[in-house]
Amino acid sequence: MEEGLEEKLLVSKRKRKIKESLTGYTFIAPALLILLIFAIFPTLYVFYLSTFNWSMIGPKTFLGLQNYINLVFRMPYAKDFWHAVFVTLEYVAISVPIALSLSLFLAMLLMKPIKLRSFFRLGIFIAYVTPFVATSIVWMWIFNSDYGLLNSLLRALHLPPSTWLLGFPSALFAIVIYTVWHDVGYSTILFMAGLTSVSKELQEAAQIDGATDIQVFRRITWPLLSPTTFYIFVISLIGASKMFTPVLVLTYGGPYGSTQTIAFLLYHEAFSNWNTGFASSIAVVLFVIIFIITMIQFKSTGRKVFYSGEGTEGEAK
Amino acid sequence: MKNTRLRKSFFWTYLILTIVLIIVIFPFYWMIVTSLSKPENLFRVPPKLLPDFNFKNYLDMWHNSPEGVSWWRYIANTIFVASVTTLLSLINSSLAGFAFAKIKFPGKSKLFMFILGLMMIPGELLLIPNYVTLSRINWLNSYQALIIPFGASVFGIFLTRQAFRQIPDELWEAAQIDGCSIGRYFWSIAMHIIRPTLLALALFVFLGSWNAFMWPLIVNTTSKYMVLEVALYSFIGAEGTNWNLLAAAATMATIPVLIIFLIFQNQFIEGISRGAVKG
Repeated sequence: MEEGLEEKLLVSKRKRKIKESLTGYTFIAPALLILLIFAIFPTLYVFYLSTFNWSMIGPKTFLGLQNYINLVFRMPYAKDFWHAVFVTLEYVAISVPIALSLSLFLAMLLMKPIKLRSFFRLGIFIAYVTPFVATSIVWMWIFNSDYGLLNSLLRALHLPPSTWLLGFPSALFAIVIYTVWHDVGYSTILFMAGLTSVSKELQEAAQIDGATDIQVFRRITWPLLSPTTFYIFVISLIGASKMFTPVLVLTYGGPYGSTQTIAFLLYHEAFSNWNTGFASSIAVVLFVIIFIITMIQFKSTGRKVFYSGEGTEGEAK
Repeated sequence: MKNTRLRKSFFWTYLILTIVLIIVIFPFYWMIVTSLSKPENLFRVPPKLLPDFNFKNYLDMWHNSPEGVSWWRYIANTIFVASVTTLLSLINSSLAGFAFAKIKFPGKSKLFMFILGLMMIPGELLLIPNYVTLSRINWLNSYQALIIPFGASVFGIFLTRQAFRQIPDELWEAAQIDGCSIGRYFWSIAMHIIRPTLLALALFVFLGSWNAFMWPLIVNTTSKYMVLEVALYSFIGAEGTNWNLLAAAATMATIPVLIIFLIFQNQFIEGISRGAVKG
C-alpha cells in the first residue's frame, strides 16, 4: 500500500516538474524568438555575408576572405579603411579622456554635501535623453562660422574664430564637443554611483589625520573607485569606437573625409554604395575590435567588477 | 577655521557647477530663442540673445513639412512606434525575466548567461543582416520594421529578473494554496510588485525608441512610416539655412522628451545608477 502511494507521489512530482519546465520555456519563448531572429541569427549571418560580393539585389559571388584582404591591403579600399581607423582612433583618443576626466570631476563635486544637488545633477544629465538630430540642429547653428554663437563669443574675447564643422581638423573637434555635451551626464551619474560605494569613514579618517584633499583622492578615493573607472572607461571606449549619428548629421564625413569614422564608412558602403558583402566585412572588423576590448575588460578586472556587483546585489535587501 | 575653509571650497563647487549647468542648458535656450527669432534678427553680429516671440516661425515650419506629408503623421508615427515598442518589450522581457528568476527548467542558467552575452553585440553588426531579413519578409517601409526587432531587450530581461528575485517565494506558495495559476500570479501579483522597475524600463525603451535614428533611417524610406528624427534629418536638407524653422522643428521634437524626462527624472537616474553597478 505505502509503496504504491510513494510511487504515485513520485510520478505526480515528476509530472509537476515537467509542467514547470514547460511553463518556463513558454515564458521565455517570445523574447527568445525575437532575439533569435534579430540578434543571434544576424550575428552569424553577417559573417556569412562578408564572404560574398553582393549588392543586396542580384546574385551573390563567393569571394572567401577576399573582402577582408581588400579591406586591409588592396587599394583603394584599404586607403578608406585605414583612414577610417585612424579617424576613429583620433576621435577616441580625444573624446574619451575629456569625457572621463570631466565626468569624474563633476561627480566628485556633486558628491559633496551641497544643497540643490539633485537640481545640478538633473541639469547636467538632461542633454543625454534628448534626440541626436534635433540637438544637432542647434549645434550646427552654434558652430556656424559666420553667425554662430561660438565664433561670436570668440570674437568678443578677441580670439580668432574657428571654421568648426567646415574645416580640418576643427570638424572632428566640434564633434567631440557635441558628443561630450550630449553624453557627459551619463558617465557622471555612473561615477556618482561608484563614489557612493567608496567608504566615507576611510576618507574622513584620512582627513582627520591631516591628509589634504589631493592626498585623500590619490591614496583612497582613486584606488577604491578603480573598478567603476575602468568600467566607465570601457563603455566609453566602445561607445566612441562606433560613433556614427553625430557624423552623419553634422558633417556627413567631411570636410575632406576628416570625420569619416569606421561606423560611418560601414553605413556609407552598405546603404549608399550598396556594397553589402564588403560592408559586412567592415561590420565584422568593428565587432572584433569591440569584442577584444570587452574581453580585455573581463580578463583584467572582470572578476573584481563582478565581485563588487554581487556585493551590492546582496545589500539591496 | 575649518568651517571657513569648508565654506570657501563649497563656493567654488557651486560656482563651477553653475557654470557647467549653464553651458549644458544654454543650447536648449538657444534653440528656443532661434525658433522664435524674426528672420532679420537671425544673422546679426553680435547675436541677439533675447527672444523675439515671433511665433509665426512655428506656423511656417508646420506648413513646410518635409517629404510632402504633414508633421502630424511624423508625430503620430513616433508616438505609435515608441508606445507599441515599449509595451511589447515590457511584456516579453518581464515574461522571460520572471522565468529566469522564479521558474525551474533545465538549462536555465546557461541560457541566461548566453542571453547576457548578447549584450556584447553592437547594433552596427546587426544593421546589414537585419536589413536583409526585413527585405526578404517584405517588412521594409512598415511599422513592424521599427517595432518587432526591439520587442525584447536583454537589458530588460536582466533588470526584471533582478526585481522578480526580490519577491519572497512564500508569496507564490501562498497564492498556490489559494488556487492561483502561475500566469495569473505573474500578471496580477508579481508584475504589480515590480512596478518601479517596469516604469524605469518603460522610460528607457520609450526614449530609446523616440530617439532612434540610424535604424529608422535605413529601413523606412517612404514618408508614410517615417518617424520624427528621420523627418527632421530630411528637413535639414530641405531648409538649408532657415535656422529659425529648423530650430522650431527641433524644439518640437525635443520638448516632449524633456517633459517626460522631467516628470520621471528620479526613476530614470536611479535606473541608470542601479543598472550601472551591475554592468
